[in-house]
Amino acid sequence: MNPTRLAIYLGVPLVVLGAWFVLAASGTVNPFLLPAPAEVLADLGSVLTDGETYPHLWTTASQVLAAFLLAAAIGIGIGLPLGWYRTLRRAYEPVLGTIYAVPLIVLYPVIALSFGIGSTSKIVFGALYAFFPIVLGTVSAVSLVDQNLVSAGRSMGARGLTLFRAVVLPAAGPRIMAGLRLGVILATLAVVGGQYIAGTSGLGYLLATAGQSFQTVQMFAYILLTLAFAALVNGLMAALDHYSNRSYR
Amino acid sequence: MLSQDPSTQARRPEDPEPRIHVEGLDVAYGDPGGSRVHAVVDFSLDVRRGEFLTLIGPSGCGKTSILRAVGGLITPDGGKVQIGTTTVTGPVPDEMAYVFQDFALFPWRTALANVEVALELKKVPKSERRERSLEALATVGLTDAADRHPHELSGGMKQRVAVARALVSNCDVLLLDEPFGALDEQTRLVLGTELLRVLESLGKTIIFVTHNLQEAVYLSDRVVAMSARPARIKEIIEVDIPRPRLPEVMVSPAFTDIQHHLFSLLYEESALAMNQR
Repeated sequence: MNPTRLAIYLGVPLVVLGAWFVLAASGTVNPFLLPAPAEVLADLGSVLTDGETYPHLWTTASQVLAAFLLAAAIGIGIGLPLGWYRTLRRAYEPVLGTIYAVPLIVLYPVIALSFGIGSTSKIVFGALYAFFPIVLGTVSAVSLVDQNLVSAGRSMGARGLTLFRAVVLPAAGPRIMAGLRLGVILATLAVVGGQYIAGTSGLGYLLATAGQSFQTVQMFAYILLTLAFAALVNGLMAALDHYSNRSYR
Repeated sequence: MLSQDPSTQARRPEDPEPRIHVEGLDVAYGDPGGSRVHAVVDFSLDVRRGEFLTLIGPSGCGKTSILRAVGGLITPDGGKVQIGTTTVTGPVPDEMAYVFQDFALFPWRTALANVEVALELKKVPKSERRERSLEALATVGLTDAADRHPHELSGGMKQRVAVARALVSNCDVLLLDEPFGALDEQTRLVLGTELLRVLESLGKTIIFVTHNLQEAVYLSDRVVAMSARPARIKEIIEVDIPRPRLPEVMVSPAFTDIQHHLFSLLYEESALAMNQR
């Protein structure tokens, strides 16, 4: 990579890190509120080596995965017929769009009451958040499939499920994928958020306990860990997206 | 003279039975009960076995609707289409293949896989699929591009993949909906010449929709000049120019006479069509 591009890629992260370092070192901010980067990194090192963090990481990862798969199954399952049949779409797409715009966190108390404060409520909450971008993405993906491709499939004898499998699904694929990417991000957000509000394990729970017990160094270490987790999830989805659409490029 | 040529005879069989019979076709669009646009009203036509028939008319006149009804892609509001003795109620992929205006290639499939899909959908065994598809690509001169995806192909190449896909199932009827519509003038001319060469050797029955006069006369045995919407037949013109036709024929007096005649027929209809929207 040439130096200009390297500078552009690393510019913003370096400026942020630099600002953090300067602010902490100059003493203008209370070190209790903003610990020095070196301290946080050292703590992150011990957090990663003492073995107690991994079960929490696993809890979050498995809950995000379960929430995502649940939302994907229901969202795509509902989105395909809704996108295909115009009358269904006209009736329900606006409804789904409206609910998507509501802050779904208002439903968290209901979910916690119904499913307890264990894993299930986090999965349900995560799935609820992930469902909307996935179903809306699928509806628009299917409704935007080039009707000429559908006609071509039909002219070659494809009907019903064969037409769906051979033409509609692959044609809608890239846009469905875009909805899935948004969905996994929202599932992560909701799962970690749910753990933070009321949980017994997971990254959100660690963040909450560290914050509530004023362990700010540790809290920042967990923040970095959560950011890295989210970046990893997003990176995996980007790779999957790229792989599944490779022939379109 | 040239009418003794065997390929000419193949295109003019003494067959009283029409290959395709269209009777009293009505096609309308819009909500039932609401305001409807009548694209085709009481349209009848017989297509002879082995002939190249062109529907030409102002854009929006309903010629594509006729083709879609013949291909079973839309259900007409009235009338019927027969292929042989069978009444068309939906696509008949064993007898008719379609080439679409913007090619309608599947972007996720390579050129070869785009041809193969026609056979896949007919449950042809895999090894045979490959072999026949490569053959069809060779017929249109695209062997080298077999592994490329549509976005890596030029317009002319895509068009040829679409023709190969239509040829691969060995249907004897081809429905071509402005297959050159998305190409520039030069590519259009070259491909038209090439297509003619391929089709003359195959003796297929072809219905071709276009609004290009020169193309219509050059390719066809008969040209059906259509009125503005709703589609009615204004005149059917026999193109008595012997085959094989070389590109030079396009400047011959016989050719330009027919082209001029068609032009005057269509000019008033096009003017009418312009005031329809």
